[in-house]
Amino acid sequence: MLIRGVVSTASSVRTFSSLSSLSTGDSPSSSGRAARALEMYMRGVKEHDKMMGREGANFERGKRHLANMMGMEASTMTQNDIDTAIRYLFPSGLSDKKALPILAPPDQVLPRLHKLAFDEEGKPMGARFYTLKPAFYQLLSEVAIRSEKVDRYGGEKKTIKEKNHFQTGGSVWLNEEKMAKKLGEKISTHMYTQLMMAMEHLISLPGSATQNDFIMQWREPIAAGSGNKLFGPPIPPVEIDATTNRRTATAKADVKATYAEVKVSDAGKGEFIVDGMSLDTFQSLQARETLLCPLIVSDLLGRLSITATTKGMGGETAVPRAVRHALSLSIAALYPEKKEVLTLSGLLTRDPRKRERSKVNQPGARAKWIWKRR
Amino acid sequence: MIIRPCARLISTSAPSSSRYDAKVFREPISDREQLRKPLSADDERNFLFIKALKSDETPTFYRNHVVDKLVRVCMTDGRKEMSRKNVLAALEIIKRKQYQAWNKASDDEKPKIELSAFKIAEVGIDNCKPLMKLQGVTRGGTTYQVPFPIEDSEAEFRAMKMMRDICRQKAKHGETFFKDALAAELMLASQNEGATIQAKQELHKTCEANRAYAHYRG
Repeated sequence: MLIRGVVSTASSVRTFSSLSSLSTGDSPSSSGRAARALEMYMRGVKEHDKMMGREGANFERGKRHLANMMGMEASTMTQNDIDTAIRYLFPSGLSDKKALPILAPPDQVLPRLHKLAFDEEGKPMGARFYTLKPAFYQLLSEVAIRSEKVDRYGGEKKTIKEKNHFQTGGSVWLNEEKMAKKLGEKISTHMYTQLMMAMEHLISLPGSATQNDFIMQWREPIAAGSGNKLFGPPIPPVEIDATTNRRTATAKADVKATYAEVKVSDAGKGEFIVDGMSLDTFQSLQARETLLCPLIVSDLLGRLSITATTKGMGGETAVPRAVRHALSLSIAALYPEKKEVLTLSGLLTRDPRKRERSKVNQPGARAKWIWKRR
Repeated sequence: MIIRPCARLISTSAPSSSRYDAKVFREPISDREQLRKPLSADDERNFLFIKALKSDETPTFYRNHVVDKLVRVCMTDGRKEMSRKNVLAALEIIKRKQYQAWNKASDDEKPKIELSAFKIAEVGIDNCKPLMKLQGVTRGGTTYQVPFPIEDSEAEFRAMKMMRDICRQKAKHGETFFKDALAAELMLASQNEGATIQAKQELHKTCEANRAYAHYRG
């Protein structure tokens, strides 16, 4: 049974008094202290529930006011609508997101109170309650049990697959803060270090790959590059051209202040048109190389028809690079088997490099004037 | 209509060293042979982003590391197109001269003549690579020219730089064109002759003379 705010303080005291009468070893002073602690806890739970109810009502009222001001229906207003309305009504130049006003349901914003589980007699469920950090020690012992299992299991009889180590590439352990949040308990640095030692031991064992799912619960993918995510615009969908009945993909990309839109159809004869001009109007050899690069890498020279339009600042290398990126994205859409090659050769990555502004009191972005004493 | 807050941002942070975060970006593969091979399961590039391919690294069949590097070394004021024109013109001159020589040569001489200008440039630069470098080290207010060991890529760079400076000197005040000077210098260097080879030997001599300063290293 979970103790909720509706349980009266008196009843909780009564349950505890019956509990203390059962325990024989406890001294009266310590049981009295424990009773007081439990009473405090119950009061805390009650107050928290009351506060959450109050905040929930406040939220509903705020939402109604917002809906009124924005001329919307309060019942159909989503969280997205609320955010938009707040952004509109309270414009701010502050860049830190934490400094901006928000309106959200209280259970999303306020810290959660972890309620303890008690059994019929009022005793806490689970022996780890007395360790004060039940979730942490639960995890620690689970790691130990799993380590032992991996270590002992099979021995010599292990198959090659069962001897595999856990692949650490692409993910890292949750940091102390995130680990504490996930466990729902405050943990000290010392405790975190202990946990990390146990985890590292587990993954160092041959056969730790069998515990992949458990281990990955406590690791997170490295911020950006995990999975099939691309750095830059996504791969566009494939469409069937209504007139020619050919598979077509249209992608957009940008380099510096140049924007390119490329339309690629398969079963072509190698036409390559950039802004209404053919490829040979590019004087520079490097520009032609760059434009043809995705076709060279994916072995599709002379098999597609490509039309590109660009706008923006332009430039000798920026235009070909922008077209190259959009073309690569379209090829990856039309031929999914070429995606890996294009990714590895860095053609599906947006080039984030830009001109760095020059600094005051310096001749350039990084260059400094020579310092002279006199 | 949504009014977006617009405040003028003044950057107070120090400029970062690279637009690519070193933690999540790895170098692209520009070699076609290597691209065909599958990556191993624990390769970092399976999980991380790949940097965008540089414009001068397109895997064309004529891609040549030495020529590309020479283009970059000979570049002034970021005008790479101009520099590439000069270097490729020099290679064309070499090709023409070699082909003329090949035409004139007798039948048993012909196979000995190298017709590839790229090959001649590679050999020429390779012959000019110094074995050591001189670096100034200040001890007790005096700067000593101390010989240091050199890595292969730096040796290549220094060879190219020596050749470039000699060619620029020759092409000063419009006496010759840079491309002619470079062509002549590359051809001589491939035979272990010429001003760049001399400069290299002189450097070696100075390194030998300054051997006594070697303990100032590090």
